[in-house]
Amino acid sequence: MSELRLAPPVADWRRFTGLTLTYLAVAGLALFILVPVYFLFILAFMSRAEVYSWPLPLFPKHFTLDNFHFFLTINPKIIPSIWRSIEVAITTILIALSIGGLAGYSFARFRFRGKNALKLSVLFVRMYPGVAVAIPMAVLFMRLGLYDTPFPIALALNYGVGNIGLTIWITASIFLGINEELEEQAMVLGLSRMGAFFRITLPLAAPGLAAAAIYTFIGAWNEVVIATLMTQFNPTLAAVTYHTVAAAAGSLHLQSAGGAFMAFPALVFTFIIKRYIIQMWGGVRI
Amino acid sequence: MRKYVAVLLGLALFTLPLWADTTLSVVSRVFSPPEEQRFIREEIIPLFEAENPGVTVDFEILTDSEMLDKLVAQKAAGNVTIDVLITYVSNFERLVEAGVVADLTAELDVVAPDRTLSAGFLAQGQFDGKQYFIPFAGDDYCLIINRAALDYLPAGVSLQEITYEDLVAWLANIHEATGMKAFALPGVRMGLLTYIVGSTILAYGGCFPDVNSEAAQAAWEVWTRIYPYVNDNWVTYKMVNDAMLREETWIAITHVARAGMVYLSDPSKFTLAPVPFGAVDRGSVAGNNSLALAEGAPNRELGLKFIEFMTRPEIQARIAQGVSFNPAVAEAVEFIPPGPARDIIEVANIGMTGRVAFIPGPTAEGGDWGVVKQVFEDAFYYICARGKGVDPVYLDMQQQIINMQYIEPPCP
Amino acid sequence: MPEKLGGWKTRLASYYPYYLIIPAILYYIAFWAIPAASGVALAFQGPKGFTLRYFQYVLRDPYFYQALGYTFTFLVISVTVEFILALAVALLINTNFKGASLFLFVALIPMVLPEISYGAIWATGYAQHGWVNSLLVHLGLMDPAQPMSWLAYGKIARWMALLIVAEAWRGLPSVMIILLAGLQGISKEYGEAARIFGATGFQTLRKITLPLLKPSIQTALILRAIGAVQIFVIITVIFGHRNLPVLVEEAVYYFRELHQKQLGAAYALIIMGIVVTLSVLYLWLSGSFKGEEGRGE
Repeated sequence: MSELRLAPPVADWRRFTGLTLTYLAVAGLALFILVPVYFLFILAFMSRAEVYSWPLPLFPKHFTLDNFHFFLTINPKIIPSIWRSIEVAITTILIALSIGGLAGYSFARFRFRGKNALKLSVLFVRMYPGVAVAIPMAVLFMRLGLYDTPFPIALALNYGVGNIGLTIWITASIFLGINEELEEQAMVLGLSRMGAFFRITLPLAAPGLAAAAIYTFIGAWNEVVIATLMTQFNPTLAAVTYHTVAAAAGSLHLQSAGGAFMAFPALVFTFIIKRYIIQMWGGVRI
Repeated sequence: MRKYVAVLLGLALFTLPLWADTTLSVVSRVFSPPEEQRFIREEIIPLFEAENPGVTVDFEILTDSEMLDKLVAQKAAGNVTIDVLITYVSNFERLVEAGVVADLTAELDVVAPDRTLSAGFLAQGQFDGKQYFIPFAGDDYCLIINRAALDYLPAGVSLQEITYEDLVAWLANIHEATGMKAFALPGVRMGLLTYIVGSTILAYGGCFPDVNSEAAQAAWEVWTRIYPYVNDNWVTYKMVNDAMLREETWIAITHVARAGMVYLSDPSKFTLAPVPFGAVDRGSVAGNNSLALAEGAPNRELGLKFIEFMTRPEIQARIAQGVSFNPAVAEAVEFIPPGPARDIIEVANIGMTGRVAFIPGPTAEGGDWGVVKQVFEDAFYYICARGKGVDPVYLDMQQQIINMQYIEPPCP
Repeated sequence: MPEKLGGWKTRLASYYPYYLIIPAILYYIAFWAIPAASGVALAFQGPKGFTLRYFQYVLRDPYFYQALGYTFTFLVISVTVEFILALAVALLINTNFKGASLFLFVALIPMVLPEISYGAIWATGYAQHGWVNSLLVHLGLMDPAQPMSWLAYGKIARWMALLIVAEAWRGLPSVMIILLAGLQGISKEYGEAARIFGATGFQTLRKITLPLLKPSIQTALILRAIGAVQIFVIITVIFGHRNLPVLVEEAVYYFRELHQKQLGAAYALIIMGIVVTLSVLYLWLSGSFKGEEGRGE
């Protein structure tokens, strides 16, 4: 603030228009993002009759929580599935960040034969349509005795496949942006490569790791097809939600409630992790 | 934070004993609407569990392709966990071909004693003389109408005797008075369009699945006249339910269970009518949802008991009173008192009094019902949506594709 | 990194980069390559052994060329739109204005919502009596007796636009966080130095920020492009199969609706071939293949 007062009038004016433009752009983009979200959320608090009324009111006339109550009691598997989904998501993040992060670091820091081909090939799994591998993959995990286990390890391993490649690319691009000299200096000062990595590079890479973690969490949290195929008595929240409220026509009020309920934990996770994304340069002291 | 984790862990442990006793796994494609799922879980399944102490029924909804994929994967891995499935006639042949359903020929007396199962439906569930599928719910087609449309019904037309010509006139009246394109048609691929057009072809004296006979051409011609009053968004309607509930449209010909769901949502706003008459008679395609036992089911005996339970007339009647449902067991109807549930069954039954055709499972190697549906859809898009009109050369070509799915042409 | 020669320790160390990659490779072999191989084999499995007939069938299918065309149209327009929007959001957040952290959270919401909500939001938004038209009625921009038919049959260009809007909404955050994470790594000092030398904001962006952001841009574009080619769920939810055919939707149609798994498998391989070719082409054109050096540029 004091900085602003000291600045000459011209800069003051420029700064003012700059800020105005910034906030206008932010408001416009926020509106584009939030209007659809708003409608989804209000539908969850309306009766069926109101959800299907025309024109749809801008605010629920008869605000109700019935849809949420209905959703939570429609299938006894829903409550346990919440915890299971958290387990899947966290395990997948651990798999993706550890395996993918290591490889991403390697791709960013070293030169070696076959590097470009390897780096591209880790994306093959995302290029090959999932529908073509779903059944053979399910059969593989069933043969390993991992079908429908209470701890959903097969799902985490499965989701790891898509997310490792993604994590490799995101972390590699972040490691590339981190000045290597910092690491070398630390090594000159007596840290091992590992030490330099953990003390210097990793904290600086936090935004990239956080981004990869969000991707992975959301992918694992929301996945339906494999979870349906691979579970039966121990489903994830996404699978059970899909089959209880989303599979039929004419139930938009319940579908919205189920969707809003599912979105809540994911939003909390994102809210927590987002602060690692805007960890500003200089926030880390070296 | 730690407290929440503890609570969640507690919850997870608490729910484990749920599956301590024998669990019978039932997967179904019917009763997918959330209210219907809850009704089955809370009102019907406890009756079975009470009869069989120590048994828990796990009832899950799966789509057709999910069910098939899951059964195929479980079979390949040698680890079947599904016991009973409720599936639709158009999947029968795929399930039998994949070898995932058990032959119940020897168990017929066990699963359906002292009750009358429709011979037609039973025949649909037979392959190479073996009975794999036990009829559970019948279905055919009917009209679902928003009462607001009744003001524009042409003079002298009765809903019970309505014809396709009346329907065209009715829709024209509505369009003239309100500007509304009031007819809903589910245009999304692999939906009900095939059966709706098929029903019209039957009403004009044709056969099903036949797209090129003279009768079929007459039916197509009617559709070219209905089409101008079909809501513009029809092509994105998967079911007509949402469009009818939102009142974007007022009239639809649809599957009785779907129509029933809309009707039950508000009987004062909607009404039902039997499927219209064509030049020859009423016409309706009929299909059935059947019960089957998974091949290698872990609880075979219990699964058979469950099939017997679900075909019991009292149980069928009870289901019909809770959700939109058309019993496949003849004796069930006696148990159903007059009311909305009975209304649905009545229009369904009137539909069955005209020219009815069952869905014939493809017989040729690699033949698939999906291809037949695709032919009907392609033809509808070509004739009506793209405005090419009734083109016999085109229709002959399409009929060839249908015939390729069968060893003997289904419509000689 | 300069390599020193001689000594087994050094030689062992020269394999270092591979050690770090080996876990990922083993993981892929175990959990992806083996199952995928059986999917690939399916595409060549005729009734009498090896065959290419499924590929021939796909290449003769008129829907294939339509799907190819729509996929490319969608790919080019949607990735461009999403990239520009995402870059704008990332740059805005990076100015660290008051409320930036909250805005970041808001911008991430569409990505976080479950797929069922995504489908429901737009399918019911575009419906004739849906919320988009309702909003227009409330704003006095539409007569409730004559609502717009957004999804009217045959308006392919409009459908494509509606799809791009929905996907921009959904896909923007996933591009944005990669760019933003990249921006975090760029020292503010560069920008400040540029400003001292009199560079305008736009010049700083073009000459300093974007070049430094290149690895993240590349990652974001490649991941997004792959995602764009894989699009199908939202299309089937809003429009149904085959009304706006795209490649993966067609593969799914063969797999799940027509139960012609061999054709589906052939489709999947063709799709992968196309995406691999495009990615190689992109990386080659953007200069990433100039030698296998440590740092990308």
